[in-house]
Amino acid sequence: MPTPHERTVVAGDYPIRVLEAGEGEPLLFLHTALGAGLWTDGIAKLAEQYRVLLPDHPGFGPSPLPDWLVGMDDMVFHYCDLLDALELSGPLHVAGASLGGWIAAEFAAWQPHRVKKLVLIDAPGLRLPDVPMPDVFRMPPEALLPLVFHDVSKAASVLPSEMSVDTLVQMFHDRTALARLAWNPYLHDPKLPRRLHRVRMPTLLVWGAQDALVPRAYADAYARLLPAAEVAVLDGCGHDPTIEQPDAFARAVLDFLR
Amino acid sequence: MQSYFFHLMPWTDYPDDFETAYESSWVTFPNRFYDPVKGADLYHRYLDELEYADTLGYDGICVNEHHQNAYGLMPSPNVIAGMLARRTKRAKIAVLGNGLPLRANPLRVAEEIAMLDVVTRGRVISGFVRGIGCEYLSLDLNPTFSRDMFYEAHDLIVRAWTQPGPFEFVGEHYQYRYVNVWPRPFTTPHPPIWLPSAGSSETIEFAAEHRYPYVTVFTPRENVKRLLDGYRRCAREKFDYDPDPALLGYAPGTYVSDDEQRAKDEAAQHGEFFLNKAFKIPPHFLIPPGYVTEKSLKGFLAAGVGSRGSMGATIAGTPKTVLDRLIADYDYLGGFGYVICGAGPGNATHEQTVKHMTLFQTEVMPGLKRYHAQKTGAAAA
Repeated sequence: MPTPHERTVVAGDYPIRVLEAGEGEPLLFLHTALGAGLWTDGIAKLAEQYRVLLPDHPGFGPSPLPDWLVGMDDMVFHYCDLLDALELSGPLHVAGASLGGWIAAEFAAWQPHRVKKLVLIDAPGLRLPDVPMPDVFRMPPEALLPLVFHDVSKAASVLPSEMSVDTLVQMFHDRTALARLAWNPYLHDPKLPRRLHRVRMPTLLVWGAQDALVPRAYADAYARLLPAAEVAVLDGCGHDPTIEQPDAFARAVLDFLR
Repeated sequence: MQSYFFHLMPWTDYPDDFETAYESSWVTFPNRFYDPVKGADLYHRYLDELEYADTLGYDGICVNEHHQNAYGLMPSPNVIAGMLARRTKRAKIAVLGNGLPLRANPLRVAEEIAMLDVVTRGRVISGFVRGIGCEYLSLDLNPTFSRDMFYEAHDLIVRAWTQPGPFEFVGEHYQYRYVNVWPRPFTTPHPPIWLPSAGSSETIEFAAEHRYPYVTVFTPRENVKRLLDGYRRCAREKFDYDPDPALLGYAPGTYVSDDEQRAKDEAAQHGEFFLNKAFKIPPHFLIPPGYVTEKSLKGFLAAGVGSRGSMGATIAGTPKTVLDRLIADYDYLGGFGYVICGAGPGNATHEQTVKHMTLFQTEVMPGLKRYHAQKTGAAAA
C-alpha cells in the first residue's frame, strides 16, 4: 500500500498541506471536519489505483482559520486556486466525505467543467426538515462518537490516545472552522438545491446505512436533485465509510470510477 | 471607593428533577417552567430592590443581558434600565453590559444608551460585553465572528457618540452610509464604558488600551489577582500609564447578615442553588467553537472554567467579618476602586436580600471607603 508524502502548496496566497500517494488518474479527496491529514484505510485503498490528493481545508488541521473564509463560495474559490497551483487544469475525479462531500457538491455546482466524476460520502449540505441532523455544536465531543460510528470500537484507530490540552485545542480549532462554515444556516446551504441541476457528471452517493449524523435520507435527497446520481448504501456502517467499511467503500468507488 | 448593587433577576422555581433531567438552565431548559404571573411579581420585587439600593446610597445599580435562561430574566438590560431611569435619583445605572455582537444592528445600542443618558442627565454607565457562549446557541449567532463583531461594534458606537454626524461607517460586519444618532449622549464625550469580562487576555489588553474600567465576575480571588495584575502590567508596559484604582473593580460573592452562623448557612444554600441550578452550564454551552481564541482556551482549560472550584467562594458573615475579608482582599489584590455587591442567585428571599444589601452598604462600605482613602490618600467620598 503506497504511503502518502506530504508537501505544502500555495493556493493563491494561502499555503496549505497536501498529502498525496498513488499513481494514475488524479483523484481529489476532500476530508471530513475532523479528518485533516487523516489518511484512512478507505482513502489508502483508492490510492492503489489512483493518484489521490488529500489537501487540508483552510482553517483545519495545522492551517490557521483565514479571515477570508466566510462561506462556501470562499471554499470553492480556494479549491480553484489549489487545482491551479497543482496544475490540474483538466477535469478530475472529486470525492468528499461529510463536510468534504458538501464542499465537493458546491464545487461541482460552481465548476462542473472541472469535475469528471463526483463521489459524495455521507454529505450534509441540504436541509430535510423531517430528518433534522443532530446539533453537533450543542453536544460534548464524546456524544459525537455514537453518531459518527456504527461500531464505536472502530473509532479507536483514528482517535488520539489521550485527551491532552493540545488535542482538545486542535479539536476546538477544527470545530471552529466547521462552525465558521456551518453554524447558521446549520450544515446546509439554502442555495444549493437550486444549483445542483448543473452537476451533470456521473455521481456516486456512498452512504453508511447506520449514519446517525447525516442519515440515509440525505442520499435520497441528493439523488433526487442530481441529474446522474446513483446510491450505494453500505451496511454495518456509520458516518465515515472510509474508516468503518474501507473494503466495501473502496470497491463501490473503484467500480464507479472505472 | 464606590459600591454597586448588581441584580441578576433570577428565576426562582425549578422542577424537583431539574438536576437529573435537564442539562442546563440555559438554552434548552423548557420555558413552560416560566410562569408569567409569578414572573410579574418577581420583576416588581427585583425592581423594588434595585430602587432601594439607590435609597441606601449605593453609587450604582447594575443590570445585565442574558438570553433564554432561568438564571436571569433580562434579555434586554436597556428595558430594565429604562424602568429604573425615572424611579431612581442618585445612583448610576450600570448596564453591564449590552452584548454587542448579539444585536443585529449595534447602532441601536448607541441610540438606546444615549436615550438613557439624556433622560438620567448622565447617570448611565455603558458596559459592553460579547455575551457568554450560551448566547450564541440561544440566538443562533456564529460565535466565530463574535470577537471581531464586538470590536467593530464598539468602534461604531464610540464614533456615533463622539463624531459629528452624519458620517459613513464601513466595516467588515457593519456598514452605514449615514451614522447620525439622535439623541446624542448627555455625557461628554460619552457615557463611561466598562468591560465586564470572563477573563480573556485579549479583553484585558483591550480594556487597558482604552483605559476602561475592568471587572470579572464569579472568579476566585487568585484569578482576580492575576487578571488585575495583568491589567496593570499591560497598562504600564504597552500603554505607558499607571492605572487609577478607579479602573479596577472587585466583584466577589458576598452575603451579609447580622448573625455569623446564619449568614454562612444561608450563603451555603444560595451557593448550592447557584451551582446546581442557575449556573448549571456544561462546557460545550459555555465555550462553543470559535467563541474564544485558542490561547484563551488553554487558559480556561487550565483554570477549569465552569467547574465548581473556578467560581470562587462567597464571603459570608457579619458586617465585621465581610469588611475584614474585603480589606484583606484589597491588600492581596493590590487595591481596587469599586466593589460590586450581588443580590443573590435566586433562592434568597426578599427579606434576606434587603438585610444583606442594607448591611453591606451601611456597615461594610464605610469601613472599606475609609481604608481605601487611607491607602490612596484620597478623601473618603
